[in-house]
Amino acid sequence: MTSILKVEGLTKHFPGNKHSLLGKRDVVQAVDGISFEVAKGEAIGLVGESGCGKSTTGRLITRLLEPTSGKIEFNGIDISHLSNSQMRPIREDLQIIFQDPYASLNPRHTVGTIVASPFRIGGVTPEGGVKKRVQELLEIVGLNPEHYNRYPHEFSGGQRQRIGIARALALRPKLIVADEPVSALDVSIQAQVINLLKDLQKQFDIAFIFIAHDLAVVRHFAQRVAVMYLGNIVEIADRDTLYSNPKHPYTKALLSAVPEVDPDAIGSRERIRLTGDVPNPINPPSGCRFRTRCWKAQDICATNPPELLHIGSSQVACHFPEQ
Amino acid sequence: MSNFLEVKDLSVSFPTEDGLVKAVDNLSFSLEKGKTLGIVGESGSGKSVTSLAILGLHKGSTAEVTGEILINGQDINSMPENEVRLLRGNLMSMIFQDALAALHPYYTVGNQIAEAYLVHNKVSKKVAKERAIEMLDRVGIPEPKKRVDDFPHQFSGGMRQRAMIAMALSCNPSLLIADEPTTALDVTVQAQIIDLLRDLQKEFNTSIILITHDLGVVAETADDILLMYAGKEIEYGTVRDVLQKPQHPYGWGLLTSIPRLTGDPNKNLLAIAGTPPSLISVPSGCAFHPRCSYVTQVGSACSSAIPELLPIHSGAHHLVRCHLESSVREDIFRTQVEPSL
Repeated sequence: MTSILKVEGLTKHFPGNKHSLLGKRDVVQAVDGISFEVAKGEAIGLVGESGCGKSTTGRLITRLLEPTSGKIEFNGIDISHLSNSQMRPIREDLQIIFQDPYASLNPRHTVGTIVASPFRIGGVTPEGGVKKRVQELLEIVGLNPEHYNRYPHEFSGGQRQRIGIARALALRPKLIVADEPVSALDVSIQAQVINLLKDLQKQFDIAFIFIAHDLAVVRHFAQRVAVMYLGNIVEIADRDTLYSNPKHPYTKALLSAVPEVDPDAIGSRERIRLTGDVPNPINPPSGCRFRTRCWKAQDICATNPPELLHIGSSQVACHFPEQ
Repeated sequence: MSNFLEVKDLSVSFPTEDGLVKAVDNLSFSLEKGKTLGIVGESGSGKSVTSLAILGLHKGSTAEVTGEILINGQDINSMPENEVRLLRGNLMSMIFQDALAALHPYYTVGNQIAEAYLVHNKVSKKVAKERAIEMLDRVGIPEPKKRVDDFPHQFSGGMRQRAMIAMALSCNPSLLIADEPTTALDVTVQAQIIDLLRDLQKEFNTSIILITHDLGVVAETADDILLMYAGKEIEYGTVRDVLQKPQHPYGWGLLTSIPRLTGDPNKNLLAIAGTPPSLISVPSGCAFHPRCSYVTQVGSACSSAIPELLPIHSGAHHLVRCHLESSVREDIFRTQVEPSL
């Protein structure tokens, strides 16, 4: 399969606080040398807890942030250090959906203007005119095309997220980065939006990077899943393998922490309880970053950072992976 | 066993410029000592407003609260504000969703826990601080003697939530209201907090009202579930009954629409169509009828008459508010809902 996106050794370090006048500035190691590929039309999930660098990764790929080092290859072009104007034609194929549908739509613009903005910015005139295409898009995402002239505040959270999706679809992109697209929505609305994204992905053959903290949500959307912890990818595997046979202790712990809805299934499941919190990315643990919370950690974990290696069909970064 | 908390016909409404918002409408439920009730609903279903009413926190606002809230037989709703104040912290207390917003940034964590203890106990500041250290230790804060002098911003999200739980439990309240206590937390930390609440409940025999939208959290902690929609209870029963044999079409929708870790991930989720109603113009009859797929099975009653909250069959403790006949409901559940659970 040909890949649409190839990420190699991608790193983003943010400058932190300076503690004295001549002292060194802290470095927040948000993303630290991650590599993965996304095939054409593939839906990949990026999961992890807050501060693991999943959103930063999404923003680096869409080049809303400048990477510190590493390479991002989109559709065969190295986009790692392109300027804004050089990125413009590429953005036609590379779009993003944001988490907060209240903050990501301009309250002073009508829905029509918002959804048409990719055409205006890209200098593209769609067949049949902008208005017709925008109304088509609204219909595709399940909104009333008559509502073209309304403002964002007249819509509910789920409907606003649909507006954001219509905007991302406007230029028929090849890859969409969806950053927690359903986490701000009510449960009954979440399912509507997940179904919509899934249908669109199949219908238009768009590759998706679905960023989420909710493992159950990702399971219903992605074909392959990458798990991140403190700026590193710790495991990548196809969905069924990852959920039925997690290899990295962190993946295993994360899965066992998801609350079970069926009261009868609660007792039957193995429970792994991690202690403590995610360490500070300014001063991450040496070696394997998960070792401070890992029940399998040995001396080697503190000295050698594990590499992401193939084990069966999964890729795992652990010295003592599960069998 | 007798009921420790009894809420009877509670209604809370807020007058606004756009009209009267009926946030809670004729709600009744009860809770035994040492048990947990999960109140589940989407945003705007009235679950938080209910909890604030139990704490008497609507007093002094424009809200109109009617009905009875009996704790140990005392009616909170008819009590004057200053008397309720004496009960808060002592008899009942609350933990909030956003611990950073609920803790004061200028005071140390220890100070805030000690303050709550001093209000209800005639002890010296030193003893109160000892108590704060003891409570921090109890909720699993490492090095409590050192951390007691930290400010909230020096704590991580999970630790702040633990500190708030320590504060809420410092006077051994009989009733703890937890409003989305784990929503802002990561799953691994959420699991820790759920375990902690469960342990503390066993130790102190506290009654807990857990307010959440997360059915998984309720399933792991609660004994009973009260499902709310547009300010009304629409289903009420044990966790097992409501989650395994839900009777209300809204409950069916919720259970089939949540993504799970089991089952076929390639099947589309069965979403509930439409959006939750505005509380200013609640739909006539059953508030859920515009989103319900089974209205045709009943006819005009759904849009004209508010269904009563009735046992699913005589003598059952599982109550539901729906016009569907119990045999029809049973049939739909078995053929259409159960297979996709």
